[in-house]
Amino acid sequence: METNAYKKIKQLLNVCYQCGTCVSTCAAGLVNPGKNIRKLIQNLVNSEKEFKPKENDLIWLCTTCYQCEDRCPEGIPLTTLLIQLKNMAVEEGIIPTSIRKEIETLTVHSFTYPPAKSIVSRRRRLALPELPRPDNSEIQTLIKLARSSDEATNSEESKT
Amino acid sequence: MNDPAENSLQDNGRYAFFVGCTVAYKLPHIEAACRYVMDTLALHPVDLPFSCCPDPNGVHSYSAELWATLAARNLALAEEQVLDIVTVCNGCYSTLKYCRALLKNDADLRKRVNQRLKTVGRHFIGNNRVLHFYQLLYEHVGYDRLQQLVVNPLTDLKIAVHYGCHCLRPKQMGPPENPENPQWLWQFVERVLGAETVHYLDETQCCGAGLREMNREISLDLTRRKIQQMEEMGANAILVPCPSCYQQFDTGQRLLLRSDNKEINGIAVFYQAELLAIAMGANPESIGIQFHLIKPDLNLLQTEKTPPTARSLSQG
Repeated sequence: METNAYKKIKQLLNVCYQCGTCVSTCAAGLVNPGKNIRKLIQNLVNSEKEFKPKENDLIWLCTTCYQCEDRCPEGIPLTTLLIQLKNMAVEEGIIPTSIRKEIETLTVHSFTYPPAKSIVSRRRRLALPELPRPDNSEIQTLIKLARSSDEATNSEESKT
Repeated sequence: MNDPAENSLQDNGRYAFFVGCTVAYKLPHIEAACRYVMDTLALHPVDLPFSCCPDPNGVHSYSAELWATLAARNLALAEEQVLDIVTVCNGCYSTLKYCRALLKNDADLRKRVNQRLKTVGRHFIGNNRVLHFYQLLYEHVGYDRLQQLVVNPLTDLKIAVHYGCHCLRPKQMGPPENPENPQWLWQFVERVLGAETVHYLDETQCCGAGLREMNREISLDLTRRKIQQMEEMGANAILVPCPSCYQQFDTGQRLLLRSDNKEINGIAVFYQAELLAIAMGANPESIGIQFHLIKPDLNLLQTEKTPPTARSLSQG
């Protein structure tokens, strides 16, 4: 099944002529040659119509430094496309542990770092004001609404 | 540089202060330094019940729709108070500025997001601006005025600057200078702090923070690479405008120094406002310098201040 979102991503990637600027500029690739974004693009362009997150797990080795996106001579917004692919993987239930935990913390505390007691007392020692806290139920409502919209978009695309 | 007279921020000096999770609940000493600097500049931060920005890496990778929705709520909160936002973190800056542009340019997204915000009694328009703390210093206050407020020039420091990805890229974010060759931080070091800049090869490269949770090895390899280059060039301090990069250099170097294969000696890292506050005369202890993991050499920060006049005489 080819979703509209994936179709659009592949259309953008189709103009890639494999020059390798992305791989030579990739931060993660600099220290880990296994992170070859040029090959990732090649795989996606040559692949079947469906995006298979498990066969393309290199998408998760991205620091979001945006160097490939800024330097691509064809102007392909690569970092943004990798993020869209990660969103698609999440929709299929493939969520790395660190991201799953981050979303759980965000849902419970409205922050990605919960206010630890030791830090709250450190704030007092530094004479910092107590920051106004958001209403957690407001944040939870928005998370729920945004996620149900993701699911709706997904099921709509599955029908087409 | 902008003419300060032209911007509203200088006129009323009030703005929504977006502290962000990392500074508020991991590194509050950075907040202490920022507040010291704002106080010295007679600027007034307004605290609002912001949530996480949210994170431009983890949350964005999870769901762009959720990312834009929570960012819109934060933007709306400041807009309700008719305030521009000042962030102290590259990540928060990137999220809020990027989402503001997305929401303004994409009517469908704006409609969906505003429908959700309506259920919690809020609305996004996007008439307020998102500023980074570095911009406040560089574009709104100006280095000339900052320089006049320095009573303790940090002449013993040899500083390697690190901009951090999310205030440079993507280029549509509109950094003040070419993201391949930015000038504003090393100029701050030389013109404001009176310190020496140490240039190194990968000045605009990533610190590795983006993969800290996902892949510790790649993340620390990137940190080591940058530190090695800074050490080769003789740096004795690192200056960053981002708490996430700060954390990567501070905690990351400690992890590297404790490993078997460390290959670095360690350089103290400072958030931009920390060095500015110290140069403006803040007592390093009062802004929490003791909470650094890589301990700075306090002698290099000239804590026993020489009056500026005596200093210039002795140098003359």
